[in-house]
Amino acid sequence: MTDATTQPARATRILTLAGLAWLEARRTRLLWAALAVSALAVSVSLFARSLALTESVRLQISFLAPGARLGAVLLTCLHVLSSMLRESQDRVSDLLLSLELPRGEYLVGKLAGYLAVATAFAVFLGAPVLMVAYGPGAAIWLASLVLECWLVAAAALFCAVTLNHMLLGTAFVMALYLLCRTMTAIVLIATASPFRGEDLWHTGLAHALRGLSWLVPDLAAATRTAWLIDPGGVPSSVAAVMAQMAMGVGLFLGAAMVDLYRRNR
Amino acid sequence: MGSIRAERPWRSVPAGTAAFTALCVAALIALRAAETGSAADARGLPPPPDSDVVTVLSGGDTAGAGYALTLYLQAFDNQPGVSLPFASLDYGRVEAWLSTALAVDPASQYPMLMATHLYGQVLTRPDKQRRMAEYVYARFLEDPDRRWPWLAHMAIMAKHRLGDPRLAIRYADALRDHANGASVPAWVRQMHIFLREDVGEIDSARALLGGLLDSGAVTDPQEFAFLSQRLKAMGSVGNSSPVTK
Repeated sequence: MTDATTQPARATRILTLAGLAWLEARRTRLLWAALAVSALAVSVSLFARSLALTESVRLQISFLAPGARLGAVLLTCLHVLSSMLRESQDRVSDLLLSLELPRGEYLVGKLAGYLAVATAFAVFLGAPVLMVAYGPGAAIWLASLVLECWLVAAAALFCAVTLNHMLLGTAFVMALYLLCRTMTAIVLIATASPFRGEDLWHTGLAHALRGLSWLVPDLAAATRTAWLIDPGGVPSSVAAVMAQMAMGVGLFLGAAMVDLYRRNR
Repeated sequence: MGSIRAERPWRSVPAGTAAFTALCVAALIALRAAETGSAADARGLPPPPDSDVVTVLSGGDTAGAGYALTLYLQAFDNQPGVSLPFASLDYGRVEAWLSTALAVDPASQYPMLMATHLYGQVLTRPDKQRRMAEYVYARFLEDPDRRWPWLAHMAIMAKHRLGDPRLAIRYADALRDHANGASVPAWVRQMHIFLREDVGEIDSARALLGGLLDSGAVTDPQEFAFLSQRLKAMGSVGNSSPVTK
């Protein structure tokens, strides 16, 4: 009864936490940083375009889209890690957890806010790309970029809770991101090469790599520049890739919650 | 007072949270396992990047860049869903990739091994075997003391696989004339003698072997005895003489 009368509803608590995370991003002028990175990517792409003899728009997109993708991912990772760690070091998270606030709700609220910030990063950095490349491929590219940033935000949240260290967290998230983007190629080389031995070591390694690849989303098939520059460049499997990224977000959130629930503080 | 444990027991995790995490893991595995992979679509080997560009992009770490090039070439015949036979590759392009890898990292033997043991072994295409043998010969001349094993292999291959002892002798002559480093074993420089013997040039072989023994270049007593025995056999039989075990 007490919960129903004196405590705000679960959704309200989560939205409040998300609002605080969003407010922090606004007040630290983070979106201006996103605009600056976006301007840098646009400048580089325009310079490259000015050098082109032909296919200038295509060339510009080929520079702009990967730059925007990398910028959005880096900004998201660094923001989530620094925000969570600052809150932990200022003992704000301890204060929040001392209230009648379930740890799971605390993390869901924080992640919801970070997802909103990550969406803003993706839109700010993806907008110049959409101005140059249009069509359904561009919309799908932006949706994929948003999901990719969400995945990085969730991974950074997990690292902040588990590792509680800026350098280690950044290294882990970036290594994980790189692994997600190269896993398919690694598995292909390990399993399909005729130079692979048939001994237990090689066979076991191939199985282990294939098993590991099932645990990470296939980012090599996500947010591809080809979707922007090739007519009909969006494959039919894009929905499955996006679902993988969404499941990855859930996986990292779940792992962070499990770790926070077991943390003795 | 006992110390406080850093972690609470697993049962402190709510069942809903554990179930949600397990569900996400299962869904991700299911989605990844259901992937059908890329459609089979064999591509031709593209031209390699310029070696200067590779050097700049590698930030000076040319050894790593050289291996990256060779690994790309090595994996190229295995495209998603397709395994291309080496014979179907454009050997002009293959040579260009190998040359770029060697230009980026001249000390590496990896491209030479690929030329000799991968692309030089297409039994169905003797023309491509010959082409790769000539490629190895040209690269050998650039760095004989380091690349002699590959030309020696090609000399054997020319004799036994291609059935062209003249080509084998040409390579063996090149080994004799250019591979003079301290690390090059004597048999490499003697190979041309026995190849000549095999094709019936007994007089030439005898003269060359006698000259070699007289020159004092053979210092190992057992090797000297073996070669002397071979010289004697050439003189008595006058034809190709098998080695007695």
